[in-house]
Amino acid sequence: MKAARLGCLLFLALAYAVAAGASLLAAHPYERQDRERAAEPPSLSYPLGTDELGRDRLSRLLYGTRTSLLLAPAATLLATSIAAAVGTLAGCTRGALQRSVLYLVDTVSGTPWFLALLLARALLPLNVDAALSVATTFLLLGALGWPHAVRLVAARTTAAMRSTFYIQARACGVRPLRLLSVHVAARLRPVLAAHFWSTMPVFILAEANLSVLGLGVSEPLPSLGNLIAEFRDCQIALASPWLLAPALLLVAVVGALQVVSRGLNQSYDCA
Amino acid sequence: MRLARIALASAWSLAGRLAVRLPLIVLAASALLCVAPGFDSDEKMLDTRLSSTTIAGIRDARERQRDPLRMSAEYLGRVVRGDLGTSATLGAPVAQLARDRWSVTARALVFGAGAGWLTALAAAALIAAFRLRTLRFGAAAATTLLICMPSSLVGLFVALLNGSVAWALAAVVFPRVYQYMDRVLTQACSAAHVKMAQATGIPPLRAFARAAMPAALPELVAVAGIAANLGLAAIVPLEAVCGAPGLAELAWKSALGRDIPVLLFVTLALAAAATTVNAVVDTASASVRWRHA
Repeated sequence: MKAARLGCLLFLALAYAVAAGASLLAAHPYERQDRERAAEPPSLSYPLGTDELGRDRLSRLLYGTRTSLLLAPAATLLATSIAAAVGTLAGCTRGALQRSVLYLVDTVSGTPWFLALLLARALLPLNVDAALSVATTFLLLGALGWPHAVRLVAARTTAAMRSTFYIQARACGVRPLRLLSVHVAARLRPVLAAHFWSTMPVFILAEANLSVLGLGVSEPLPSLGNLIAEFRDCQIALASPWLLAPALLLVAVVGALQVVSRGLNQSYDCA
Repeated sequence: MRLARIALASAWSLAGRLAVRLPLIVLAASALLCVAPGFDSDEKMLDTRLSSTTIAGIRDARERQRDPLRMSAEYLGRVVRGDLGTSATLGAPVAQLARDRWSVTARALVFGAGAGWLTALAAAALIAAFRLRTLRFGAAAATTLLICMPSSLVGLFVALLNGSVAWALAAVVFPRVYQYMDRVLTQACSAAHVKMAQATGIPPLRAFARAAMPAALPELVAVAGIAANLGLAAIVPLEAVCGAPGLAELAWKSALGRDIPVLLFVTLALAAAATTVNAVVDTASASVRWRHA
């Protein structure tokens, strides 16, 4: 199992290195069109062929990997931060206020998440700049993907505040902010880290779903999701197996993240 | 009598949750709509025959409507009276669109989530009862692969094989639900009384059905709620890629066309369905737990 986890970590490191260096590695810009060589099969100059607008699929795959892999951690960090803030607030409060906060969290988490995402995305213009569409997609994911860890964070905060070291620190006159940032935060770190690693693949998959539906990253900027959308025409898909490359890469990256997150969760459980 | 009390308490809790959750969704949507780009624009402002004073008056009137509380109260009042609004893209009443399409989505959800749950239960039960290593390996491989695929990709592959939305939904629900069931049933089978039953020569299937299953039943019922929620989350991309003319596909088309009345109605309908399913599952799980206590 350790060997599998190490292998997955190395694969992820390679994928992130390729994503970060996409501008150096890609032979052509992702938006450059070679109309005379549109919809070509793989060749020496275009290893994964070209799409119907004559754009190099391999270059678009490299840039698409960058979009999906570099922004998912940012969205996850936002969601984890919100979960930490709301969970800590719920854990520090008592009585009616705590019940109200948790009730609100349950209400938010009870709403079908993907539909809430669709509603929020539909209220924004669809014909936005590509960079703005990327920021919007991942901000929405981060802003809506936080409720699931809140109860756990709240329970851990309450347990930390009832622990003997916390009570002793309080009795010694340690200020509340320091109590939270030093004593409570240390107990929350494993939960938040587990939430971060297990949410990142969920956000990569959610972005892929949104982009396949045309509500994620806008053209011409590629992402793994809108590259998979080319698969929608079944006849083309059957005749051109190289179209599977973005799907295979997505499955491999998400699988590696799942293995790594499972390993980290196990080590936090043992700690 | 006790069952009736459990059901009554659940119904009361469900009514309370719906009464809070649905207005909150409408309020959040109204607040987003008020800050969305283009809110204070009206097509009439593009009419060149109108004077600048008239156009300014139209803009001011739109600005005065920028009140989320009033918007959500008006919308909820209309919904209570049965007026769900008119679709801006399709030009038809939302109620009529919902009537035409709800059965497609309901069928897909019931059959798809149900098939996923039953398949996961059958696989986990066989593996736990007979300790079938090959089946465990196969189920683990299928689970790992399917969990790593976005539901829209699963839908695309199922569409390639001429499958329906229900099968795609079953493929999305199965891996996530199987993991829970495998853990629950494996724990149930490693209980002392089950091992004792097997040691006394009782056939594995009988020992599993009589000793292990009853203990695991409340949790298995609760997992049905998870299956339903997974189905509600995945139905939109699946209906969209498979081209099924259901409510979820309508929601997707409305999102593309910024058709807020339709999208808001579908969100409310599916949120109400999710809340109801969770309440039913909680009641069923509590009843089963009480019966076996």
